[in-house]
Amino acid sequence: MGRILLNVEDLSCGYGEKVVLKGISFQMEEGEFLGIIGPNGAGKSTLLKTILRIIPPLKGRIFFRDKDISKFSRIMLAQEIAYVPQQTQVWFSFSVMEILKMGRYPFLRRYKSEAKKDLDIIQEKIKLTGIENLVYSNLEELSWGERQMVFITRALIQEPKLLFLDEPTAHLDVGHEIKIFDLLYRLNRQNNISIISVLHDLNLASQYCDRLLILFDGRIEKFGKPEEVLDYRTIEKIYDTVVIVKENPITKRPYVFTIPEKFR
Amino acid sequence: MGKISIKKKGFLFIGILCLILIFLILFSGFWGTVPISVKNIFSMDRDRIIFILRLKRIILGAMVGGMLSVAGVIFQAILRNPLADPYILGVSSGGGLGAVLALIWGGSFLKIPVFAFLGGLLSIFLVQSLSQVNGRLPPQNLLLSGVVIGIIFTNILVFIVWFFEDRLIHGIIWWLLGNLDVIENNLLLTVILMGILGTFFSFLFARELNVLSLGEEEAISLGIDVEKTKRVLVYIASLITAIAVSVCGIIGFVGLIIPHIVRFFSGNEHRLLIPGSFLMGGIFVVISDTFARTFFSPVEIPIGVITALIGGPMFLILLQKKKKILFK
Amino acid sequence: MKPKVIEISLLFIFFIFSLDLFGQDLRIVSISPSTTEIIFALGLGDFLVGVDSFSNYPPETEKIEKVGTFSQPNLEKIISLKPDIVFATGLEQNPTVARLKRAGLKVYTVDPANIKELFQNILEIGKITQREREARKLIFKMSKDLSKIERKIANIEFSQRPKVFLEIWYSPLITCGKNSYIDEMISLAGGINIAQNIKRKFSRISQELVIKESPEIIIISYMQNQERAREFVLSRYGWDSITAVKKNRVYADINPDLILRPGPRIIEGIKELYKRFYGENFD
Repeated sequence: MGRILLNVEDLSCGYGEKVVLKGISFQMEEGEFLGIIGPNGAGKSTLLKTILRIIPPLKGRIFFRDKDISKFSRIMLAQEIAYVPQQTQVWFSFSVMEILKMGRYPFLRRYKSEAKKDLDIIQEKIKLTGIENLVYSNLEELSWGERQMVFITRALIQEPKLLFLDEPTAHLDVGHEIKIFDLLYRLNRQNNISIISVLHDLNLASQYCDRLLILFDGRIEKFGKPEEVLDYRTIEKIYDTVVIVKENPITKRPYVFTIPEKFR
Repeated sequence: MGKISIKKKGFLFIGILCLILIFLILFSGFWGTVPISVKNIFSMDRDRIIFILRLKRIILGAMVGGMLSVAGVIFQAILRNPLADPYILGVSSGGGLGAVLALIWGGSFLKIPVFAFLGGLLSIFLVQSLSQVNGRLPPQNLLLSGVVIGIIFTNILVFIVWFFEDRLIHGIIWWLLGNLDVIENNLLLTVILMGILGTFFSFLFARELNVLSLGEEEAISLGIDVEKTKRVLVYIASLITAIAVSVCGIIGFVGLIIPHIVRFFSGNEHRLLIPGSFLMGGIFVVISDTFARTFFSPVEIPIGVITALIGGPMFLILLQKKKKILFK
Repeated sequence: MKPKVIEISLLFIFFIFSLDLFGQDLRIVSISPSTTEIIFALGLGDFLVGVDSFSNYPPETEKIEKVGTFSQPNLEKIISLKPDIVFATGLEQNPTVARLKRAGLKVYTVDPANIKELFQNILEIGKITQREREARKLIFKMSKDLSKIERKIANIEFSQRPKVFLEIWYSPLITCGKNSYIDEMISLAGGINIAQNIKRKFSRISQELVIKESPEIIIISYMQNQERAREFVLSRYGWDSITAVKKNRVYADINPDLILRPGPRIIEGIKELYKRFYGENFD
């Protein structure tokens, strides 16, 4: 902890004419677990994709380890940063092994195939995430939760310094949600992988993240520790609902209670 | 230990296909309208000529089958659509239009393949231009533009055929149903060259194709220059399709079915899928052609009819098996 | 007395009406170029009110209103011309024929598979158009010409007759088989069609057959330039082994309408074929 890993300066993101976010500036330290939250359409995914250079920034600069990200070649960036996107419909039948091998692509020259070193890394990460029993299956045979584990493993196979996830637990039941976030937390604390994750579940974000970036109305509403930023006024403002925020007795982190209309 | 034999299995698979294709190429020449025997090839002039004629046609068929299959693989990956075939971006319509224009203007008979080829290139150029958004080529745009350009060119084609029907009636049969008994001789070398080069270059992009068929965002995050890769691959695939169409007309189903058949063995790994499809496509067309020229001998069945008759039901069977994946 | 007058008047009126039906007002549309030629040969050219775009012989057809192309005749145009009868061919024109019939028009199709059927067709056309006498005259003349040809050819031994390949198209290679009058014309002209055992009227064949048979004569029916035709055929691999190519007997100078149309001019067509086969004029 301590060193600045990611530095975003006055970033504007959008698609062509449409500006989704303006004036985004924040810094992330090495070893942090950052959460990005906000209402639907706030631009969470857009921010992620802009940092990852999937869509071009409209304005501003991004620095990865003090180096301008636009100066990185795509391959070099892929060797440092990995991304687990939201799951989409897949039309072809992929085996789990095929997916996992993709994690080594940024390290392989065009004419070479996977060397022993690469295969060892793959095996190592399989053990790390505990998906040994899934390795001989095809993707479509797995449940959403299992698939997500596969994609996270693939991202780890890239041996990144920074891992981005876009709503990793959407569509998952609470058991899988916890399982995945426990895994991410372990990777963050034990394996020293910095993580930025977009989340929709405020409580999940609160329990696991070191700091939260709250996006609202095209800009950063708040940025800081969950205790600092998750107060009922902020939440009620950006989600337009009624909540009560109390402290979780075990984790000591804020816990958001939603209040149904009949009780208001 | 399981990983090493996967590689070996891959080589074995490709090796077997190679052997089958070579065997077919060497020995299909003995079937045909006119009976010939091995002895006579070396002694009797006429038999030798006929054997070589058949050999040329068989090799042409193998190449075209291979090229269409590889193009099918590429389009299916880039468009992330298992129903894509080489003609989906309008290359065939452009080719047909070019061929028909050449037929009208008469002149040297070599004009037809050349014009057909140019027509195919025009199609793909238009499709790429229309699909561009901010310097990117979204697959949905490619698909839509391809269909639109295809329809437009086909309609122009239909109009021309209606208008000039006296000169075109027979020539259109060639284009619509496919023809491997090609009269122009000098084209075979070009086809072989383009076929091998095209497949080779596609093979170089095997990893990119692996990831692209999963998703573009995945590809970008793995360091792939997606837009450049798409552009290059679309051109390669369109080029080899245009050449196939301009020489042999429309041979359907090959580019659609063969990639799926090979996937049964190779999965989605394009390092196997591409060479496998090239070889399997060649095998399929050579067998179909042998059938086409022997079943009603001496009458020839158009090759497109055979590939449709075999390919159609195969496609339905495939669709049944894959229902789970496609319609989940 | 009175009933007889009525009978005679009725007969007279009936006679007048029948004259109107089949007299000067006969309106004919032909969407079959060969039938158009037959109609003119029967002296009915003046009654043709509409023809297809392919009907180009005799030259008088130029002035006749065109009702569309051979494969896409304009239904409305034909109906608007109020023809008493429409002549068409079968096969490709069948859909149009069906539609014309549904529209209440009288349609007659001709599709002779051989010359005998052609004569039958001419006779029937004659009967329908009240020109039976002219039809019989035409058939008689054609038969006489044919007999003359047959007599001359009969004197030629089969072994002396040249093997002939008639190329209708090149890519794919298309020729005519046993069920076509073209095949018959080749035989009548003293040739042996190398595709004579193929039972289809028009058929795709492979180059192998031509090379194996090595015909002495090749007739190209889709172009008219002799030099280009020869070059074209020569450029094909293996064709230089064919007798016709070696002896420079590739002919592209016959008017295709003479051999591809089953009409009054087939006699001329047969004579043209004979000229190429035997190197001398028939007469």
